[in-house]
Amino acid sequence: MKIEVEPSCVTFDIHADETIIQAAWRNGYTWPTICGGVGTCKTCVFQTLAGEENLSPIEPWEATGLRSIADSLPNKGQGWRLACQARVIADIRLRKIGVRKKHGNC
Amino acid sequence: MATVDTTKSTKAPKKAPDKASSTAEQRQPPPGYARSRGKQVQDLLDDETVEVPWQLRHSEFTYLGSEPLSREHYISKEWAEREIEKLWAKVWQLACFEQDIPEVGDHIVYDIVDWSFIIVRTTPTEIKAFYNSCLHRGRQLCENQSESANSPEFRCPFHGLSWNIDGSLKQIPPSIEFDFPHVDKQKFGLPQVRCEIWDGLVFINIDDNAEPLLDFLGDVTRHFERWPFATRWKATHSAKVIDCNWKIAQEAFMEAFHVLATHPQMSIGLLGGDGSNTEYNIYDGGDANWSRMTMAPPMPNPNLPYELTERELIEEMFFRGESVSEMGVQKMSGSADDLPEGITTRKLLADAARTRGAHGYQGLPPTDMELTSAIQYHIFPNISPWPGPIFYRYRPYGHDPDKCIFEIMMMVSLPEGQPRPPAAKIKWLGPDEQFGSIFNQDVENVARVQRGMKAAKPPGHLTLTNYQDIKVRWHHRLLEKWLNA
Repeated sequence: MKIEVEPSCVTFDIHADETIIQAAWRNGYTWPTICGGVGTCKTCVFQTLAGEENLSPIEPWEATGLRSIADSLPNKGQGWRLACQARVIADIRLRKIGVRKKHGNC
Repeated sequence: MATVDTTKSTKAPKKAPDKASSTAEQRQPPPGYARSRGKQVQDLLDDETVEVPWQLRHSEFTYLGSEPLSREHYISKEWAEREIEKLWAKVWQLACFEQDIPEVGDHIVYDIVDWSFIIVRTTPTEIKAFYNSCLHRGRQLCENQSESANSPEFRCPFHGLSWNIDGSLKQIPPSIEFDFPHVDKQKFGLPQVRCEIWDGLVFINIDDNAEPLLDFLGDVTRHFERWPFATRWKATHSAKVIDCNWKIAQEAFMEAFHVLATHPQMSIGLLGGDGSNTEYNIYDGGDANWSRMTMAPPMPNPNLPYELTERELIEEMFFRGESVSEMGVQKMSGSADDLPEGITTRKLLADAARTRGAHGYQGLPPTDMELTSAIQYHIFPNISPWPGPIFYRYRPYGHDPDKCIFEIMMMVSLPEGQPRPPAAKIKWLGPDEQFGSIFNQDVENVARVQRGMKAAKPPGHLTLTNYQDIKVRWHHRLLEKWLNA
């Protein structure tokens, strides 16, 4: 399974047992977060561009986080998920700025 | 008057340990002088392309210790009573704005705890304040605390005794006058309370021996010469009774590092930052009756585990079509490809603000900092005027330490020559009515703070940060000084 990230044209593989942010880290990519990936800061939030049906169901903790920011997201947050909470069952394409190879350009 | 310090005094103090040392422990700044990662407000001012007014460079900070704060200040009935006796009975406090009562005879009621005062324009150039209580049986003479009224006299609704707007007795109704032979009409005027004005703000002081208002205010009056109030328009004025002590409500706006947890919408777009680079200023070693904080404008968040570029930030802003920050939501559109090399988000936002029209700046043209960051002053004990349009006031709710009145006003600078519309009356929000999204999050917090403070295991002391809570510490230090006087 793979994750495609715009606008930086990054693609990396992901396992079923890891969150999107964990997959990014394992593959050596940065992902915006302040809380370190525990669902508190909501900085890792991304917009799904394709394959929304392939995302894991939204668990209560992620739902709480998404609710707290929904009003300030385009389209009331429809299609937006937290990368530190969401997992996938098949490929998705998403948009998130600041995702790039650690110590180098993508 | 304190001298203007144009040095970057929020940085390392002059008395920093000067012994060269290689151990990390000894390289730590002394308590209170550590700062968050990334550019500080004074660094950002170095990047300005226009001259920076001295007010923004007047940046003082003094470490006031790390001692815990007693929760009794917020929850104790005894403490609240001491505040009434020692603070509210003696301190200068904002009663209304001159523009609330523009015409002779216009008056409005100001209530604080059990006191009630009538603030009235007696001549085109004079405003007086009287105890709002009939000298016969004590009934309140006026009840209009939300909007001004105009009348040629103050007539008591109970038995009809009346006073002129200058406070002198007008008439005891002829039908009952025979029964007041003991009253000397010349001496039967309404008692006055001290009333002085600064820049369109009308203050009262119950203490006849208090120092003059301008002495009390100090240098903050010089700061606001750049952003005067007298010419602004009070466009909105909302008030709400909140379930917390007045200081808890106020302190929600005395630091900005709650932004990350409380207002995540401001940092998720990576545009508004997380409040960690806010500059905090207290003056004269903490003795001045005013303080300030300046939130850094939108810029790459320094707390991300890697450096985000300005270009990425701008691309995101254009993609989102807006910037969300402490200055509100601003629509932004364009293409990052068309922009010059080295352009910053804050510069783009500032230029957009200039294009929309930036008014109310006296002297030098407005800086990017003034146009894109939230600069918030506090004047002891309970108002927060901004160079920008926001203005807060906090009042206790009677004798109850668990409640307060929180007010938000929008003080708008109008283009030169544009006539000022009438000042907004106070709109009282009911328990289920809200101020607006960012404020709702703060209001939800403060009621939980009041509740949680009571639930703490005794003694329930509060542990503050050394730097970012300095305004909270400053406020309580002044408060203790007043209560122990």
